[in-house]
Amino acid sequence: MKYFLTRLLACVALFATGVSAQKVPEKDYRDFKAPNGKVIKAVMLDKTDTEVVLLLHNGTRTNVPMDKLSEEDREYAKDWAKDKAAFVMKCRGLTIRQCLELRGYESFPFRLENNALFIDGKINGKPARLLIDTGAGTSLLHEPYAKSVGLEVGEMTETVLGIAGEAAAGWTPVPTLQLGEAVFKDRRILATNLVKGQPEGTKSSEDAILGADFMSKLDAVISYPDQRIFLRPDKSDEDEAGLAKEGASTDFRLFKTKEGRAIRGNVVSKTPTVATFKLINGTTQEMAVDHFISEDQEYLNAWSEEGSFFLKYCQSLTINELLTLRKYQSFEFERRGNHIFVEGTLNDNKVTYMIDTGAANTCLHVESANKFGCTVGKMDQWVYGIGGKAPAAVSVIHKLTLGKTILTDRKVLATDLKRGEPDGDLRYVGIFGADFMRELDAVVTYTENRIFLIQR
Amino acid sequence: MKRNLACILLLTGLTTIGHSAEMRMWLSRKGGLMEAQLLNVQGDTVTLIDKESRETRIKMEELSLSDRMHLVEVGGVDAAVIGTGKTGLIEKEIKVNTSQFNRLKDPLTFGAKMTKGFELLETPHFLIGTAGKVQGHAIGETAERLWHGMAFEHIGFRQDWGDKRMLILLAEDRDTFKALGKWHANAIATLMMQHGKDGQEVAAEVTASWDHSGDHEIYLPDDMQASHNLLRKAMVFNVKETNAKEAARESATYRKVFAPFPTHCLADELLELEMGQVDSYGAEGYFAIGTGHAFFKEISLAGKSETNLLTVSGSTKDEFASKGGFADGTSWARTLHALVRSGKVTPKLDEMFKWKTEDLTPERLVIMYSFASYMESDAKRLASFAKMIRRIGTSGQIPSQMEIAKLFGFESVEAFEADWIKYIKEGDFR
Repeated sequence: MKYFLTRLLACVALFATGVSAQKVPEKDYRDFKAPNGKVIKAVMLDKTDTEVVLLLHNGTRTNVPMDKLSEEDREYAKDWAKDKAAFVMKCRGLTIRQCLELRGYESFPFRLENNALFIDGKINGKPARLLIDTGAGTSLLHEPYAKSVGLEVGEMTETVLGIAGEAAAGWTPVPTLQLGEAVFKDRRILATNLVKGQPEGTKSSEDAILGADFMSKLDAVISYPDQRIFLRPDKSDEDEAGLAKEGASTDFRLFKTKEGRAIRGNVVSKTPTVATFKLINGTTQEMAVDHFISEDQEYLNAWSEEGSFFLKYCQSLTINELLTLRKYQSFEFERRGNHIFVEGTLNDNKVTYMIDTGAANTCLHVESANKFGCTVGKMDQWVYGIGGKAPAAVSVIHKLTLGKTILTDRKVLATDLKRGEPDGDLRYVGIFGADFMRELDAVVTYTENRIFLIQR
Repeated sequence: MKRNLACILLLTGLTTIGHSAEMRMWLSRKGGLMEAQLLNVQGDTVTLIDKESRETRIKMEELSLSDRMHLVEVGGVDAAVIGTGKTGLIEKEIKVNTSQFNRLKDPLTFGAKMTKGFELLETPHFLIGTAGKVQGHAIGETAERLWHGMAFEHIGFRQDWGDKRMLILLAEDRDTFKALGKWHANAIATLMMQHGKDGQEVAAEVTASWDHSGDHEIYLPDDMQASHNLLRKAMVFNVKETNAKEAARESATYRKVFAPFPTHCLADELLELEMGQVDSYGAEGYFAIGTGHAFFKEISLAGKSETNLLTVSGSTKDEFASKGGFADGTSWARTLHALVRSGKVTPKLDEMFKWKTEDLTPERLVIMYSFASYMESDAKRLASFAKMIRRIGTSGQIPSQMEIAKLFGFESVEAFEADWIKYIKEGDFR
């Protein structure tokens, strides 16, 4: 009789209030037997060669040596695979944003304008439109903008190389560059005219290019499906939320108040109007929910102890593990300097591509396009970039692959990519641009040195 | 015992997502928008839970195509669900609460020479400006309904649109319309010059055609976009009343929800926004896809077509010609059906993608309409159409004809064309 009642209540709770669904469902628990015959109800979370990680029914997590398990349980543990485990599969609902924000990343929604990614920041305390460009080895300021915000542009004795040629540039001291909570102090950044060679009166769509140097430094994650870029403020020179000073791990979330103050902590309890935080410095603080910006209010309103408990375990997944659960393919990329490269094929020939979020469209080196069997048209088109414009040819890629991702019959432009480095050895066939990355819902992580793609 | 058994059956086949799912907006075919997180999927039923822990169960087929895509990605639902569900006139089924349309206090003006300006009516996604006696409610409702239709079918539409509004101007007052034309000609000349083109030539073309065309696109200045949170591109309807008969017709056009001409123009504009800019070398087919879709929405939602396309030519850009479909705007499908069956007309993708406005004949225009009607005729084709539009948006070019055939599940262009022709001859082409 008791058995019936218990099941019936579970059933009612599941379909009436949703509260029970926020816990680990009962069916995910298994009876593990200790050598003394004692039964432990638990969910297996992970394993190594010598021990298993169990989530007990009372919510605590424990590591149990393999030799303390019964023979039957050892067999179970041996066959257990993390990517197939029911509890872990539930974590696939976690978004990249949730996963990273829980680890102290700050997220920025980006604007897509003709495939280019823009975020807002501040340079020398003034608003700046920043282009996110993994193809730019170094960050650049637009010279007129730099002057307009009071920066002193140095002598134009340097040269920056672009897809369309070169442009003079000058080292410019930048007292502060701010991206949300991340602040860089007293940097020197090259300033150049980003619209050099383009028709008179052309306005630069960006005030500065945020290149791979900053992205790498801030452990950036660029997610096209989320339309967000995630950065680690604690990796900058100054972090108002205090992490850099405290040197603590990234187990704390960043919260922002409406007044612009940032705190780093975890919610430990909540009433409808007040949240209690355990802050990174170990203190506890109560704060009104409506004191925070709307995105954080949403997080706080949705917070529950059970949900937090669930997320705590999902949080331990890497981006790689999370996206693998979602059937993404991933490729470790190679860093050469600040540039990132991946292996693939071009018309069935093994080649290397440079990953470039700053390129609105994929572009091939014309010599490689010819060499590897693309149908290359006349040089009657133009590509635009730093240094002005350069002639290009419409070329048809018959087949391009990255892992199991296959793109067929695509028109791209091909130009002389060695123009910028006439004496250099071009060790890639072209630029894998934002067009293909958007189509394949790409995620680029500097932390894990990986690019993730999915073909829908 | 029976109750317990029922409970077990309910639990079988249940995909529980857990608490980790993110709050997001869900859209039903009735137009209901709900902010909730996915709780579980059981068979063909999705359970959502909102911030107050209230549960809502909804049949998967009632959810938008973009929501079903989300379920496939995050909920582990079989991808086949994308090509299922009802099709039909989502735009007519959804509920639009017009009582939430809000009149703004201050009018909107363009340039110093515009004395009266436009009275403003705010809807959730549009800002309707009116000058003269014309009212904005019907256009506002038409636009909202078409917006929801796009959001229902196209995965990234809501996200791409963001929190901005699109400005739609209904210019009946002649002085205001003329002043707007002058302002636009100057603005477009400046813009063209910034892109290294002959601004004066473009301005002359705008001036010559301004009063002849029923609708125009204009680009808003940065400060106006910022102050009213508007998209850069705006639409202008030329609401003319040169005589009493025309006045009555024009008046009816802008008083009615889903009047043919505005429906055509708005449908075209919203699809163009989703497709984004295309590169000159990848633009072949853009005209056919956009125009066909606009006529398809016009006829399916308004019941007939009243739209002609205008061509401008001559050295002074003042020679106009009008291109339309078959004379009877209510029987295009029937007429094309007969022509195709008799072998007098054979739709070909390759030929159709090369047509421009000046090349159009009634048969050609109706072939473009049939192309859109075919692509949007059932759930599976609609999913392929949405995928094609998404591809155009990311690549900035129209996919090759072979790629289009593949997107629709065919191994060759010929097989795709054969299915399209079969649809005209034997399908539900109306």
